[in-house]
Amino acid sequence: MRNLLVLTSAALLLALTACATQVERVAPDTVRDLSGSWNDTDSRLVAEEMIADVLSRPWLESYVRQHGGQAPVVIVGDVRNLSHEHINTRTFISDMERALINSGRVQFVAADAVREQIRDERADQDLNASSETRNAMGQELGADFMLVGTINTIIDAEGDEAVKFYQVDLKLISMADNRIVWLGQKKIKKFVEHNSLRW
Amino acid sequence: MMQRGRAVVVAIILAASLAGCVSYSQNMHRMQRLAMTGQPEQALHALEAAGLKHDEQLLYWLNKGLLLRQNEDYAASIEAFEKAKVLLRRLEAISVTGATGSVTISETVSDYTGQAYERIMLHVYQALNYLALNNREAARVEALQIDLLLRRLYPQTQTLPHGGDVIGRYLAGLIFEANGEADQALVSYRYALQTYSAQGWAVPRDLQQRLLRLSRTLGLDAEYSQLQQRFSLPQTALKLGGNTGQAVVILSAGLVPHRIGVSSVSQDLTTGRFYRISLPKLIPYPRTLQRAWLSTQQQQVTVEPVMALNPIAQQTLADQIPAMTLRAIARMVVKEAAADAVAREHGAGAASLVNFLGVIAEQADTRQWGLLPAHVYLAALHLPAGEHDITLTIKTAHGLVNKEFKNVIVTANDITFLSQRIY
Repeated sequence: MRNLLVLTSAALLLALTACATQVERVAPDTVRDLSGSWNDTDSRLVAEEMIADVLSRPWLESYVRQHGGQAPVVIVGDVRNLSHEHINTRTFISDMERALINSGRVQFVAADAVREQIRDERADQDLNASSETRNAMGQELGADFMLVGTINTIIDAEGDEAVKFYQVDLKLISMADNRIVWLGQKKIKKFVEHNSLRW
Repeated sequence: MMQRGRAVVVAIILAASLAGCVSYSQNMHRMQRLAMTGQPEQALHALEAAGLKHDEQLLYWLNKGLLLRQNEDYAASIEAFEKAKVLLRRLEAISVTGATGSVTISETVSDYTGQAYERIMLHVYQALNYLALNNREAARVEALQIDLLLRRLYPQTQTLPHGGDVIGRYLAGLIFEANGEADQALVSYRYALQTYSAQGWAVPRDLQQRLLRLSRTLGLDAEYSQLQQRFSLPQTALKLGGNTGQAVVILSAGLVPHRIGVSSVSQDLTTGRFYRISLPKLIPYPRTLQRAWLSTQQQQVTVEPVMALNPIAQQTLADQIPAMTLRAIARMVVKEAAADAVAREHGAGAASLVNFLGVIAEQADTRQWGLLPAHVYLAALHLPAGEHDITLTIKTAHGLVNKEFKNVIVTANDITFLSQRIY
């Protein structure tokens, strides 16, 4: 009986310890794949690689040459999620925007959601701010190019195993004449195996 | 000393498994009653008060998701359903302790892992949540997840046994159609048609029209002719005006059959021991909806049944009964051996107690997603682009009920989704 009690107490102690929440702080760029789904690492790597690619292509030099050394103005439009997963495309778009701005090679303007806020503020300034300090309407910098894209998946799955193939397609479109000046594509393939047994 | 300890442990486990089972049924009844009387918030309180039990986590999130949806808190419902999805993926792995417990102690010891048709309904209601928030892209993800689930679980047929996937395929088709993907929509509608045909169910007229319209739009002349021969719909039924859109209402009605345990007890007159087998049985609720129609000032269309969950649930259970019976027999053998061991060490009295607790613990698994509807209906109004007031009139045994959808915006060549839940 005493042995049984000791064993039971030990088991309870172990169970209680396992139940406690454990937190470990990691660096934001730490790669940690948990579920096999699209994660922050995928978003960051794809954004960095594709922005590096778009900025290294001839369209940029061509534009700068044609416009007396002026950098093009780029806006990031919609990135449509056509995949099998709920992907937060906003973080992906933010990663691309950061990479674009930090490159220093293009000028960057805010996308529609933020623009509306800014316009509301300008309208408010029109009414309430002093003439010396108010920012007038109709002075926005128009975008020369818009970056849009899609995230697609092909998934082959049976039972506990799946092969997940992600394809991110981006295109840079001229606002003047709808020409597509750059097409980028990034592929990620993952083999995911779930546990077939659990305790 | 060890043997006495073993007997105590067995008694505790048996008693604990009994306690858990009784409380789930009571909680489910209470939640159903509150939901049926239009009190989803109180039903949520009842759900929270019952607490989150380890082996019923999935049911907790599924029920919470539906109650939040009924309360029109779509964002919170989405969150609850996403938790259910993560849990479902984890529960797909076979539980060693659960499997052991189900052949030694009780059917209810293992985690509830959900029926296949419940998993489809999870995606259906999640898609409807996203549509309510006008998030077409996310609803499309749910449509793809339905297809992925069916391909993964049933790679040969890509359909559920007994037609439990039909509403998932139908809704997926509507979502693709709304996203301007006629080709994808047609694939989903074909799967739905395949299920209606395989199950011997009437093909909804709305689905017939969509199949014909899309096959014609996509230039699939041979398929169009075949379908036209089969359905014999008048050409006027397929014509849509240039500036026309659709308002589609999905109506969930009633409750899935009530799942009870039916026990059979016998006694060995030589030993005095009792033996019990308890298996689940489904008792349908009376059908409440007699007829329903959608109307505007200019037109009216009757809602059509697109899925009945009662026969699906019944047939799914019938498939599972043989395995449940085998496990019940295995448990009887194990408990008999335990009682024999106790009898040898502590006498007939202690053995009788173990036998008694074993019999009481032998409870049927009555767990299910009890807030699901018994029937799903659908109707589509083809309306000129603009704002419309739409009335859903429901005729039940108690009379007529009107549900008003005010200021519904219909866009040309687009689908506006509306949904309603009645009991």
